[in-house]
Amino acid sequence: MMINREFASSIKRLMPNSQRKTDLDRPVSIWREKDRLRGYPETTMVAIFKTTGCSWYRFSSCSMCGYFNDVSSEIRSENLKRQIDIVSDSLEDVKTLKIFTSGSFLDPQEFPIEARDYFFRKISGKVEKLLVESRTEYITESNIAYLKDFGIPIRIAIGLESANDQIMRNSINKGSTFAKYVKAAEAVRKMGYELRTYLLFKPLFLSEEDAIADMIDSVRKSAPYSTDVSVNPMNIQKNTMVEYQWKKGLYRLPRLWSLARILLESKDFGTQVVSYPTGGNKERGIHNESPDPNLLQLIYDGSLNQDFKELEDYYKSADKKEYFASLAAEQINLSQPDFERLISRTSNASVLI
Amino acid sequence: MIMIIDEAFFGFARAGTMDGNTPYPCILDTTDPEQLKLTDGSLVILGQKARPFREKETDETADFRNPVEWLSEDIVIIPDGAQLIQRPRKLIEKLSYVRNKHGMSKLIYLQGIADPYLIPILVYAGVSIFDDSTIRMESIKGIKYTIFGRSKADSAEITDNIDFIRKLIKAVSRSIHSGSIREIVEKYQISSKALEIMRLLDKDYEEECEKFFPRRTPYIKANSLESLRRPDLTRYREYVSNQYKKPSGKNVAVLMPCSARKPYSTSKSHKRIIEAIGKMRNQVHELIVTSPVGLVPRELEQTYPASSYDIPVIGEWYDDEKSMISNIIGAFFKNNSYDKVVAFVDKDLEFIMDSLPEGSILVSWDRSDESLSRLRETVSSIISEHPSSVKTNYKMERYTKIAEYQFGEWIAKYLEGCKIVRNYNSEMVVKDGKPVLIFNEMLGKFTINKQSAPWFIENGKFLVEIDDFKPTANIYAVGVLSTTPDVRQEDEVVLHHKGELKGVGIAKMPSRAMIDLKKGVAVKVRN
Repeated sequence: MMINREFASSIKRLMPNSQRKTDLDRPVSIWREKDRLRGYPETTMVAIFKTTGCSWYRFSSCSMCGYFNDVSSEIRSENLKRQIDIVSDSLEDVKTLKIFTSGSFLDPQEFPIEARDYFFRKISGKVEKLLVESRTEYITESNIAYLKDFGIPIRIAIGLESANDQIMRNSINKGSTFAKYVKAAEAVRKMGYELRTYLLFKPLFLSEEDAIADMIDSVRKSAPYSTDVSVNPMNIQKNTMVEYQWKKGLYRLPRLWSLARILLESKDFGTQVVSYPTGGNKERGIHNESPDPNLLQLIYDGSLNQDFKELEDYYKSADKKEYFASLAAEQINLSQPDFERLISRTSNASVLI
Repeated sequence: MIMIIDEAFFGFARAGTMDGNTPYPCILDTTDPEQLKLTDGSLVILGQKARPFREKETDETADFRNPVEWLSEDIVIIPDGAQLIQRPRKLIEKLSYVRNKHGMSKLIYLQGIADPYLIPILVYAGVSIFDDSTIRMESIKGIKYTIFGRSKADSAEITDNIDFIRKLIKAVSRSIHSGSIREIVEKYQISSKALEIMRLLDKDYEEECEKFFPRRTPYIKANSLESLRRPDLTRYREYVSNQYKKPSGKNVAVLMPCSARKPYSTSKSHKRIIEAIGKMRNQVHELIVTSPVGLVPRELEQTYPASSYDIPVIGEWYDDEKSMISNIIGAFFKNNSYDKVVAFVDKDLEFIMDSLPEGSILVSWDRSDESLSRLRETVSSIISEHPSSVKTNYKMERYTKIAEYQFGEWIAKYLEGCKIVRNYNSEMVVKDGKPVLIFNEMLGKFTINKQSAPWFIENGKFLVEIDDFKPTANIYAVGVLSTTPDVRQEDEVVLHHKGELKGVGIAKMPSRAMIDLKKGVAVKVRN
C-alpha cells in the first residue's frame, strides 16, 4: 500500500476549496537563476505555468506541496499558449530553460498535447537545453519518445523526494514508490534523455539526523539513474500539512549545517549533487539556530561549481555546539518540536533576573 | 526490564524507584544511550522499546492533528510537551486522558519540557519522567537557572543547570514523601504557566483531583490564595455546606473568629468566650469562622483540616476569602436552622452578616470583657425566649459528629448508647463494654477495630477487598481486588475478602493505584 489514507485525508482537509481569481493567460512566475544543466554554470530561465493542477490533487496532495494555491480549473490550451508566448518572449539570450507546472508537464490532462507541441515549436531554435518535471506515471516510453523530435536536449526531473517508501507514504504522501521511480528513470535513459532527481530534505515526522541519513541514502540509491540529484530542503508553503504542523510548533525546518553535511557526504556518489534552497535563512526556509548568509552562499556556489572545498573548510572550522545540541534533542524526541520557538515562549512565562 | 516501585503518592504525584535504583521523579540524560536512544523510529527508554499507541490494531497511523502517546512496558510517553505547554489546558487534558486510558501502572514521561519552574507543578500533575534536552539547549544560549528565575550569562555551564534541576527534583520528591508537595507548588510561582496549571487543576479537574488527593496531610501552610482551592479544603467545605447536620438541641448559633492556636478551644480568646457562655453552652452551637477552611462547627475543631492549618493574618480579609466564607455560611444556614444566630465577631468579619439568616444579631467582639458580657446577655435572653429541655452529653455528641464527618451519617445509629472511656491518653467509644472506635487525638481521627469493622462491611463503606489471605504488616497493591469508591489515601479502611473481615488499616495510595498497580504498599495494616 502506497497510501496512508488517514494521512492523505488529513492533508486533503487542509487544501482550500475555492480557487483564487487569477489571470489565466499569465504564468505563475518567471525568473532567471544560475544552474548547470549543460555541465557548467550559466543563467537559466525558470517558468512556472499555471495549469489545472497536479492530477494527485484530485485525491490529496503531498504534505509539503502548496502549489495547488496557483492552479485554476478554467485553464484551457489557449490560455497555456498565451502563457507560452510570454515565456518565449522573455527568453531573450537565455539558452537554458526549466519548466514547472503545479503538477506534471508531461500529464496530457494537465498540459494538453496540443499546448505541449505548441510549446516545443515556440522554443525550438531558441532553447538549447530544457528541463521539464513530471510525476512518474507520465514518464512512459510512449508519452516521451517523440519529444526528441523537436531537437532540444531534455533533462526530465522527477520528484523522488525519498528512496524510502515508508517516508514517501507516511511523511510525504507522494503516492509513489522507489520502484515506480526506477521504472520511470529507466524509460528516461532508454529514450536518451537525462534525469534530474529531486529529493526532499526533512519531511514531516523525522528527526533531523534521520532526515540527513535518508537524504544520503536516497542520493546513493538514485545516483546510478541521475545526471544530477537536487536536494531540496523543506520550505513552508501555505495550506499544507507541513505548515499546519509548523504553526503548532511541531515541525522544525532543517538547518543549513545539515544540508552542508549531506552535500559533503554524498558529493562522491557518482552523480552531481546540488542544492539551491528556497527561502534559505528565512523564517519559512532552511535556517540554522541563527542566520548564516556565508554558509548559504557556499552551498549555492559549491552546488553550481561542483566544488565543495570551501564549504568543507567553513564547516570544519565552525563552532557547531548549539547545532549538535539541537539535533541531539530532536533525536530522542518523538515529535520534532521547534524548540527555539517553543522554549522561548515557555521561558518568557517565568521571571528573568 | 524496568520495575516500578512506588514509595509515596500525593494526588497524581508519585515517587519511587525504577529498576531498584533509578529514583523518580527524575530527569533522563539524553547523552546517555543507556537511558534514551532513538533507533529505527522507535525510542528505547531505559532498555524498554516504546511504540506509538494505537486505538485499533488496524489503525497503523497516528492522528496527525494530535500526536499520540507512545508506550513501553512501564512508561507512557507524551511526545509533544513543548507544544502542549503553550496551552496548559491542553497539557492537563492530555495528562488526564493518559492517566485514565493507560492507568497508573505506567509512569508518564513528558518530552520536550524540563523548565525548572514547571517541574514541580508537572510532577504534581502526574509527570514522573523528564529529559534534559531543552536544558542543554538553554544552557548553550547562556541561560542560567537560579532559585528565583532565569538569569542570562555569556556562558552557562550545562552541568550547573542540570545539577540545579536534579536538586530541585530531589526536593520535590521529598515533598511527595512528606506530604507537602501541594505547599511547594503553591509557593513556587516563578512561571505564570505553573500557576495556570494549578488553577486549572483546582477549577476544572476538582472532582478528579479530589479522588486522588489524600484525606489528610501533615499540615496546611496556607501561604497563598491558591490554598483556598486545595482539594482537601474544598472537600471539607463541600461536607459542611451540603451534608453536615447540626447536633439536635442546640438552637442558638454563635459564630466567632478563629484563633491561631489549634484546637481553637485551647486558645485564650476561645477560653474566654466559652467561659462567658458558661452553662448555656448546652444549647449553644459554636461555629468558628476562618480562612482558608471556611466554617468549623466546634465538634469538628479537632479534626483535619480545622486542627492543622496556618494562615497569614493581617486583620483584613481578601475578597476571595470573603466570598468563600460567605458561600459556606450561606449554604450551612440553608441546611441548618436555629432559633437565633449570633455573630460574635471582630469588625473585619462583620461582612458575614449579609450571609446569615434574617434577624441574626451582631455582637461586636473587641477583646474586651464588656463585649463578652454583651454576648452573655444576648445569648441568655435568646434562651429565655426559646427554652430547650434537651440535655446533651457533650462529649458523645462531639464524637458522634466526628465519626459522621469521617465515615458518614450512617454510623450514627451504631453509636447510640455508646459511652466515652478514657484509656491512658486516648479516648474510646465503648459499646456494651467493648471499645469500638479509638480516637487518636494527635491526628484528630478515629481508628476502626475488629468490633466496629463489621459495620463498615454491612454498609459498604471504606472497604478494600483483598485476596484470600491473612494480612500481616502491609497489603501490597497486587493483593487488592477492589475498593469502595469512598476510599482515599490516608483513610481508615476495613480489609475483607468476599465480605469476610480480614483486618483494618490505613490506605497508603489512591484507590485507582491500588487497582492498577502490583508493587507498593496499598494499605498499612493495623494489628
